[in-house]
Amino acid sequence: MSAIPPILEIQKLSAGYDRRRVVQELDLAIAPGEILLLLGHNGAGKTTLLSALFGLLAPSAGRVLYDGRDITARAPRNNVKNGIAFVPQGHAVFRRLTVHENLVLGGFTVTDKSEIARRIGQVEDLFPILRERRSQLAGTMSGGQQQMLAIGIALMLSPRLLILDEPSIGLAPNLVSAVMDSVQRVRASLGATILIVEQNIEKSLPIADRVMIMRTGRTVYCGPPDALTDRTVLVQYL
Amino acid sequence: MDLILQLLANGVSNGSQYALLGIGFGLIFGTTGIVHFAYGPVLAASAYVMWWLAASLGLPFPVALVLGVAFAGIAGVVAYLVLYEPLLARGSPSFVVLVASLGLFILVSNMMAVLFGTDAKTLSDISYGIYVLGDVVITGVQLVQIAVFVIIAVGLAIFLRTSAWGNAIRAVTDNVAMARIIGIDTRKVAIVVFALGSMISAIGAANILVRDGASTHIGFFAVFYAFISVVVGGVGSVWGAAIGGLLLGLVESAGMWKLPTEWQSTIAFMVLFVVMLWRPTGLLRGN
Repeated sequence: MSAIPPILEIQKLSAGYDRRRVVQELDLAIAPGEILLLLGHNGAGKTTLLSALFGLLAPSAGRVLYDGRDITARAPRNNVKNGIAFVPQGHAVFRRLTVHENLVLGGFTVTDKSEIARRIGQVEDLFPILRERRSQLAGTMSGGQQQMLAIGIALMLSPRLLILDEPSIGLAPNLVSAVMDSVQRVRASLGATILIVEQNIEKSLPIADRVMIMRTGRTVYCGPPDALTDRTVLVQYL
Repeated sequence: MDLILQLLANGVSNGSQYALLGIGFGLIFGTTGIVHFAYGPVLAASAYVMWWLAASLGLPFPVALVLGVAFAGIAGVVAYLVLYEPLLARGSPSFVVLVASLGLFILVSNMMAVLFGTDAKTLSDISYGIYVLGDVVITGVQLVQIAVFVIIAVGLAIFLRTSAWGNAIRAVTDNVAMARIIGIDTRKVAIVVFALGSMISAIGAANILVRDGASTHIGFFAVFYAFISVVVGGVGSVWGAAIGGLLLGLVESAGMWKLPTEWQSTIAFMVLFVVMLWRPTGLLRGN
C-alpha cells in the first residue's frame, strides 16, 4: 500500500530579508488532515517560513509544493484560489467593516452568492458569537472574538490547508482554550489540514498530531507531541 | 435673514463642489495611501480637453464631457502605472512618492501652459440661467454643482456597498495586508480607484469650465480644497470627504460675509487647523 502523498511539501527552503537568511534550507512535509504545530522562540523563523510558503515573501532558494505542484513564490491570490488560507498574527480583520461584511469579503474569490451564504452559515455554526455580532463593527469586538472572526474569514475559502500564525497571541487563557477548540472543530468539520504556529505550548500541544521545533531558521525537532510532554525534553529543543 | 439664506445657498453650492473633488481625491488617497497631488493637473487637463472638443471641434458639450471624463480616467491610471507603481515596487518611502507627485503636478501644469497659454478658456455658449427662489438668487451652475455632487456621492456609496469591486476597495482601504491575504488583487484595485477618482475630478472640472473657464491654476485650487476636505472629514471615508467639503464651503461662505475674498484660502486652513486640533483623525474618524 502506497503512503498518502503530502498536501504540502517544502524542499530546502531558504528565505529572509535583505541579505539576512532567517529560514535556512528547511524541509517539511504535511499529510492531508494533519495538525502540525510549529514551535520556536521569537526570531526562530516561524513567521518568515509561513510568509514564504504563502507567497507573501519570495524565498531565496528551495521549493514549495502543494498537492505535488510547484507554488514557490506564487502570489497569495493564486494560493487562495487553490484552497490555502492564511490567518496572520494579530487580529486579522477589517476593523471598520461589520462582522458580516468581513465574512463576505473572506469569500471574495467565490463567485456563487448562494455558496457564500452557505459558508457564512457554516462559519456561524462553528462560531455562534459571530452570528450574534453580525452587524457589529469588527474593530469594536473583544480580542478573542476578533480572533474567531479572523479564523472565520479564512474558513470562508473552505480551505484544504489552513495556516495560523500565533492565533492565541494577546488573548486571555480561557480564550486561548476556545481558539484551540475552534482549530480542532475546523479540522473535524472541514477536514482541513492545519499548520499552526504557537507560543502557548501548554494549550497547543494537546491538539497537535505532530510538532516541529525551529531554532535559528532550522528544524531541531520534528515528531510526535508525546515525546515533548516531559518539560525537560522540551527545554532541550527550545 | 435674506443674507444668511443667500450665504447658505452659496456655501452649499461651493461646498458641493469641494465635496465632489474631495470624494475623488479621497478615494485615491484613502485606498492607496498615495497623496496624488497630480489630481489637480489631471482635472485641469480634462477641462482643457472638454473645452478643445467643444470649442475647437464643435462637439456637443455632453459628448465633450463624456470624452473628458474618459480622458481623466486614463490619465489617472497612466500616472499610477508610470510613476507611483514603479516607485512603490522599489520600496520608495512615502515622502519620495509625495515629491514625485508634486513633480508631476508641476510638469503637467507647465505643459498645459505651453500648449494652451495661461489665459482662461471659456465656453461662451453654455448657460444654465439664473433662478430666484424667494429672496435667494442662485445660478444654474450652482444648482448643477449641488445635483452632480448628490448623484455622484449616492452612486459611489451604492457602488462601494453593493458591488464586488466596491467591497474590494473598502477592504483595501481598511487593511491592505489582509485584503491581499484573502485573495484581492490590490494592484487592480489601485488602478480602479485611480480611474474612478480621476473621472470624478473631471466632472468637477466640467463645473469649473462652465462657471469660470479652464486655466492652468484651477488644478492647484482643486487639489488644495480636495485635500483639506479629505483631511477634515477623515481619510478613508467617502462620507467624511463629502462632509468635510460641505463644511468647508459653508464656513467659507459665512466668512465671506465679513471678510474680503482674498481670505478664502485662509479660512480653509483655519477650518483644517481647528478640526485637526479637535479631532486629529477627522470628523468621521478616518485612518
